[in-house]
Amino acid sequence: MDIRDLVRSILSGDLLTARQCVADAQREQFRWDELAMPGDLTERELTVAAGIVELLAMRNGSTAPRWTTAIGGLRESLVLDPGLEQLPRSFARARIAGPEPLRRRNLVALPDFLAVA
Amino acid sequence: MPLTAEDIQRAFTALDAELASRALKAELVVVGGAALVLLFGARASTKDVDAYFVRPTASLLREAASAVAESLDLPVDWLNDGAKAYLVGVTTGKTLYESGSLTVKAASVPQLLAMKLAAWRDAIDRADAGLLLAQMQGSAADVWTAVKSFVPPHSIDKASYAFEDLWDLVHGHS
Repeated sequence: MDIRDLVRSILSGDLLTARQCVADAQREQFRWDELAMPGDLTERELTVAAGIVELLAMRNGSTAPRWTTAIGGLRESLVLDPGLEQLPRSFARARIAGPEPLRRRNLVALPDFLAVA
Repeated sequence: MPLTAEDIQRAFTALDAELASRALKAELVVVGGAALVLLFGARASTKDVDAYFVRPTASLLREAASAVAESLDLPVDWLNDGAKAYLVGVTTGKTLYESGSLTVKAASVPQLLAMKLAAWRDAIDRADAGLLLAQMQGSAADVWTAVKSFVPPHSIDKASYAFEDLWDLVHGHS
């Protein structure tokens, strides 16, 4: 699992690849708590990385690595799910009930974003 | 790399041969994104095929699928029944693959739509749901009635607002 690939897939709107990264991580029982802070990401990418790592660690029942706690939110909100703004009910739901590690960083996505069975 | 419709068909052909070598006959109902890929060819799928195993037993099917995984370099659980917790009954639609030892059907369109609305994770689910909705006739109330019975009770609220958004997106505000 390379968190940079996952983050860049999300930010480019390639959510199929993002889902595959998450499924692969789940399959290989990836240790989120041991993930080192990625070194060559922009501020925006690092914010997404921190939110996503916390989210996936939480869903996996594990703890996130400590570096994520130092990564705050973006100044302006960023929608991680292309086209979500066109759906008023879903968008409102994402705003109030999206994953907490994302909402806290001003990142907007539906509650089950990146959930895999 | 994600799986294309051709990749999935190739895996079914290999599974058919594997089942034949074990003197087994299998019947599956595909319920996840792979069904959308095979029905509409509109996109690729993640490397797994979510299915309801009608026959033979799950353990026999997993063994055969595992042998196929090795030969085609797929994840060992490429064919799995992990989505069964999200199924409310099983209804069948089009036949996706049929050969000597293997029959694969898609779940019915209303059931597939119900599962997409209950999942409602992202733009992929929305695009899939839009394709499925386009296959259904009737008013919003008619379609929701046909779909609702396949939504797990704990997902009714989510599926309901998802359906309203989807309907408005596809048909305009009602």
